[in-house]
Amino acid sequence: MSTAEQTPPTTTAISVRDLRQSYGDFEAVAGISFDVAPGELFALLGTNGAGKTTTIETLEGFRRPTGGSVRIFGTDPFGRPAALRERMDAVLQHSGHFPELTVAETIDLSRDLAADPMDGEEVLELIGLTDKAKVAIRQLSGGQKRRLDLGLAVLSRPEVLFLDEPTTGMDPEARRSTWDIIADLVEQGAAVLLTTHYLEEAERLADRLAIMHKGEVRIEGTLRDVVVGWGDRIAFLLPADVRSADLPELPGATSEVELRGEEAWATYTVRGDDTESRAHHAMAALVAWAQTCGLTLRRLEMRSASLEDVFLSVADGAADLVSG
Amino acid sequence: MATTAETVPAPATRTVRTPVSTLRQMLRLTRVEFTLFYRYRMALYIAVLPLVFLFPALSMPEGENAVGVDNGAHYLASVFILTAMTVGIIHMPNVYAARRESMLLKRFRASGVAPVAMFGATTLSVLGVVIALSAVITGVLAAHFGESPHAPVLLLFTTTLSTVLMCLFGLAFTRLARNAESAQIITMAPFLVLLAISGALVPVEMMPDRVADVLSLLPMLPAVDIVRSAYFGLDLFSGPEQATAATGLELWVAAAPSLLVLLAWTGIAAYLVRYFRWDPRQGK
Ligand SMILES: Nc1ncnc2c1ncn2[C@@H]1O[C@H](COP(=O)(O)OP(=O)(O)O)[C@@H](O)[C@H]1O
Ligand SMILES: [Mg+2]
Repeated sequence: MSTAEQTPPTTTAISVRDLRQSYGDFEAVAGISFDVAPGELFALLGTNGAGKTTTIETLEGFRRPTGGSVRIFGTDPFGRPAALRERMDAVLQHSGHFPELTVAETIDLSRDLAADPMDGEEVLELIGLTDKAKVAIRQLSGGQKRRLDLGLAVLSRPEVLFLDEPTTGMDPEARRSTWDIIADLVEQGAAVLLTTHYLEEAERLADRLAIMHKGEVRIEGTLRDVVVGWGDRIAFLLPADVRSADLPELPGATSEVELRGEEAWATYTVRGDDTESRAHHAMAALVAWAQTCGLTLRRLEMRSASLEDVFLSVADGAADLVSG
Repeated sequence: MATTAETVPAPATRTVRTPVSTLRQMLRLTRVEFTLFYRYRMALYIAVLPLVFLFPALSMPEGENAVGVDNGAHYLASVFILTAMTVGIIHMPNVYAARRESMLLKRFRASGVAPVAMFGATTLSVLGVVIALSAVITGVLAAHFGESPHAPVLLLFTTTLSTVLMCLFGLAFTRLARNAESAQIITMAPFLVLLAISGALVPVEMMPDRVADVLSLLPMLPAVDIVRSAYFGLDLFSGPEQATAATGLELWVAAAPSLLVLLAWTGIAAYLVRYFRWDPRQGK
């Protein structure tokens, strides 16, 4: 399908290989690798100070890697070469404006600085600031400014878009419409690298995600890969006359007794390669054991992991147990 | 590692986009800079500040100096350069420290605006202000002292060169400022030093020869010498005792060494701007 006239098909838009980034003696990013393809959204999650912004700034061409390499469409972004300028844009974690200009003036300026920009009215509509067009930037709320940031980044129709906590400060409604905007961009073929502290945002938008902690990627994969690795949970109130040593062995599961407030709970974490039916087998064995003992398991619950469970285990430093 | 890269189609070929040239970006930003000059109170204040340099000229005792020029007029000609210096060295750090702190500069860079376009636009706006103030200075020289410029092109060229030089110095000094407030304090030092070495307030004739020789290699006095020579049509480059009437090409030739000194300083200042800091988080 590729002809001589076409540019060679690029299968990755963003590529990061063994990236290391240090501030003096402190290594903020300690050897991470990932790729983002056109039409894909990759979410970089992680605790505060994990190195997400540093990674993005390196990709934006603001910093030279202290080790490894980064490429945008095969080109080193450091120093923002002209070949890449038209093709990428960003919502920075913190982003500034001329406070004396109005919203419309700010959008017009960005449009005039970009090649082939979106229509100004269209941008206002998209970010829901049509009625604020004549308002000075200094009078906008934090969430409104954030929407403007997004509008300014997308009006150049970038092929690669970096979004560093783009919805921080937005109300839930604005956040949802921002998700729609981002999803549309990805649909149209943009490669998007997103960081966020809203896990729901990553669950909604990310094709793949990575969780960083202390400069390293601890877990990476599709949402399903990531939560499956963490295991399914079975829990019930520990019956009064059952000691933890009496709890049965369940196939593929490890058991633990934990305190929830005053109550002792038995919890099982079910891991195993048969991710489709492992929970069923464990539960069946548990119920059989209860029947044999003549017990009724009170407040029995069974759930698969959420992204939040995985995230918290990374933040606790327990992720090494999970990712294997 | 699991990657979906192979399964995703290559990006749809879009119509080839002609990038916006750096020059067009610069001119577009210059328009904004002018808007900001009158909307941003501090900038407006900086823009009218050089007018205070006019007052000493009006209160100087009448009388001609060694080269046959009225004392007040002789002083006033130096104000072209003092104006360029004041606006360049105070305005640039003031706005650039604020824009760096607010992350505006980073946003512009991230969306593909060339640094030269930003710096050039602010410099052009400063030049606009300096030229407007120069018109006022020329007006006072003409109306009050009956002097009109003999070599306007050389005058304009030197004022422009000084403005560019001082804007570049201002940018270089921005590195030392944390925010707009500290920029205002930090720029007082270069402002006072440049004022002192300009030979405008303290005539060079009253300084030891050694000092005068050194000053003629620094970025202010050569510019002041050129604009005075250009304004009054005198070759003042060998000191007031040797001053001779000169016009046109003669003046340019006589001014050449001083122009070279200014160009060399412009090169140095441009080099220093390479160390401009974009990120408020970076370093101290
Ligand atoms: N300019 C800098 N100088 C020194 N340390 C920095 C600098 N920028 C970031 N850091 C440190 O690097 C680590 C990673 O920061 P960052 O990439 O901003 O993390 P994240 O975006 O994941 O919260 C943090 O510990 C932060 O304090
Ligand atoms: Mg960050």
